[in-house]
This record gives sequence, C-alpha cells and structure tokens, in this order.
Amino acid sequence: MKRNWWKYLGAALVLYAIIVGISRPLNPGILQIDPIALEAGQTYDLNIATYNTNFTNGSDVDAFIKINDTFGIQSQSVVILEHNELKASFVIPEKLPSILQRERYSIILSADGLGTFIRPSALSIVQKEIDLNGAIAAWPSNDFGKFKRADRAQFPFRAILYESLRNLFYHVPMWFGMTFLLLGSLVSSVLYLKDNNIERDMMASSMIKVAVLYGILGCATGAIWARGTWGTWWTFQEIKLNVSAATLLLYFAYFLLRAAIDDEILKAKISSVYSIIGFVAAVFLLFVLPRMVGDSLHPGNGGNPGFGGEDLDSTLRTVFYPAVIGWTLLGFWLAQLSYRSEILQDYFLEKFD
Amino acid sequence: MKINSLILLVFTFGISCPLLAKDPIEVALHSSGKIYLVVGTLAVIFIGILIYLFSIDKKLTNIENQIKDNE
Repeated sequence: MKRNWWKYLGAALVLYAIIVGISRPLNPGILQIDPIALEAGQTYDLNIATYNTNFTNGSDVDAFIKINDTFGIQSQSVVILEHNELKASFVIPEKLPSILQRERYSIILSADGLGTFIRPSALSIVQKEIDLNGAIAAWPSNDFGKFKRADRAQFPFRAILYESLRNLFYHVPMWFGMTFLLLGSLVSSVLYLKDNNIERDMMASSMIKVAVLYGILGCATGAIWARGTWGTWWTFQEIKLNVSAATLLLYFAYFLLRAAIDDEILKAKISSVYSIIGFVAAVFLLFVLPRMVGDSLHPGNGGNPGFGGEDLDSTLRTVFYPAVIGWTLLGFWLAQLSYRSEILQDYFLEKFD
Repeated sequence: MKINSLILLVFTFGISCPLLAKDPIEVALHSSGKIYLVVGTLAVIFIGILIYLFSIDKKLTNIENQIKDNE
C-alpha cells in the first residue's frame, strides 16, 4: 500500500474526472433566435430556443439586448412556450447609442436557478440615422437590477462544442500524460548513460511505449471530437495535428531502432541517445511551433474562443487539473507494469536459456 | 490556410438556422448535444488501455508458462 499509493491516487482521480466530468450539467445556452435581423424603432417578438433549461409556466425569466457595457434594452414581456423555448417582446428605440448604422448585439437571458447566459453578437439591428447624443438622451431606463445567479456548479456552454466540452478531461490529459512520460524517459535515459544500469534503459523504453499509446489514443479521441465539431476526422491545416503526428512518428522510429540492434548494450546506448534528442525535438514540435504558427482550429488558440472566462473556466479547472494528474499517474502505472514484465522476461530468459 | 479555417468557423458558428441541409451524423450529434462525442472518447481510451493490458498479460502468461515448462 505504501509503495503503490500513487497508483490508487491516479485511479481515484480518473474516476472522479469521469464521474463529475460526465454528470455536472452544462450552463444553459441560447441556441437560436428568430428573427435575428431587426430594425430600430420597431417592436419584435423574439422566439428564443434554449439549451439545458427547464422553464415552467411560472419561471421568472428576464431577457435583455446588450448594446454595449453601458446601454441595454430589457424585454417588455417574456412568455414561456416550452421547457426550452420562450418568446420575448422587445421595443427597439428609434436611435441606438452606436456610431454604426448596422451592428450586432448580444442577447442575455437571466433565470432563477439557471443563472444568466448570453449569446454574443446574436442580433443585428439597423438604424436609419446615426445620432449618438440624441440616442443617449432619449434612452429609456437602464436600470436592470441584479442578474440572477445559478444555484449549482455548471460547465460553460459553448456553441459548436455543447456536451463535447467534457472531452477536455479525457482527450487533453492524454497529451499531458504523454509529455510527462516522455520527460520520465528522458530522465531515465540520461541516468542510464551516466551509470550504465540496463534497467534504466528498460524503464525508459517502457515509458516511451506508454507515451506512444497515449499519443495514439490522443489522436484517435481527437479525431472523434474533430469529426463532430470541425466536420472532419483529420486536417493538415491544423498545426497541432501535424506536430503530434510528427512526434508519434519520431517515437515509432525509437522502437524500430531498438528492434534493429541485437547487442543489448549497444541497443541501450543508442536508444538512450535517441530518446534524449527526441525529447528536445518533441518539446519544440508540441509547444513551440503551435505558438509560432498561431493559427489554429483548437479552442483557446488562433483567435477561437476558449473554454471559459479567460480560456479556462474555474468550474472546468476543478475537474481538469485532477484529470491531468490522474491520467498521468495511470500512465506511469502502465509503464511500470511494462517495465516489470520486461525485467521478469529478461530474468527468466537468462535462467533457462 | 487562414481563410479556410475562418470559413469553417463562420459556417458552424455564425449560422443560427438549423434548416440547412445537414448530414444525419451532424443532426444526431446536435440533437443530443454531442454527448456521443464524449462517450466515443471514453470508449476509445478504455479500449486502448484494455488492449495494452491484454498485451502485458499475455507476456506475463508466456513467462509463467516458461517457468512451468522448465520446472
């Protein structure tokens, strides 16, 4: 128990990540608004379709159109149609406090228990003449009271991603795990070259074995996620896919190298050197290149919105960090199993051959 | 490259109307909120780790058989 505490910790953290990661609900969201092209000075009944809401006839829901940080329009009335659909009536003032003739504005819903949720730049409103001062002077009340808060922990609602946001806890830790395992193999290889203990080389090879497994799983799960959100299993337009594939090829070559050399000590020395060089290359490929290229389809990169407040929402963090630690510990457990089986095989080959 | 990803983003992000012709996979994913992507991810990881465990198990079995044969 004392020696294996980290294995059980890893298993517990992964179990936690799976249970909470799947069962914690998403924030409610706004799926669709009809109509979305409005004119200033008109009255509209906006039909709003929502996600993950449980409206009832008695639900107290407020609707707002956010013009900017200072000005907004509150709905005249909100009628609940279905558990995930409502109708909000808005009177759009003749003049808007904007210097553009046509601009996109956000819509906000605020409901008891569910909290407040927004669809940014959802409506486009056209005004006939631009009169900033006149608009501000004639603006109806801007006092909306307090926005309602959610009464439970929820994950952020992200268009395109929806529930697949939860893959953050399973796909991303594969890559973190792979990196930590490669780091471990680097340490092991360096130690082998220092004191020529063959077991260190076997440990390095086991860690790289699991690192490659995690990399393959990362690519496979990423492909599934991509098919449902980007519309394609794979694309060479995306830098992160290219560099992860390159890194995996690099470490496939590590095993080819080991297979090609018969002499045990030569095999150990050469593959140790290769793994050290490989790690340097992998760090450059995985961490430097994507930041240099900048352009990306991945959330949080290349101008895409991230997962939450400032890239990672705190409700996600409480599951993501334990998940990374858990999957990494699990990876080291798998590596240790591989290492132990190699040691045993070696031992009994010597004994009986 | 930038234009392509921009177009891809605009297409999937900006359009609120669900009446565009979509292939059945996308409709199924969207109506269930894409939870199946998470199910698929977990299944793949689990199967991958299982395969790895099987291969280690097989190796250990071979060693055990060798011990047995040599006793």
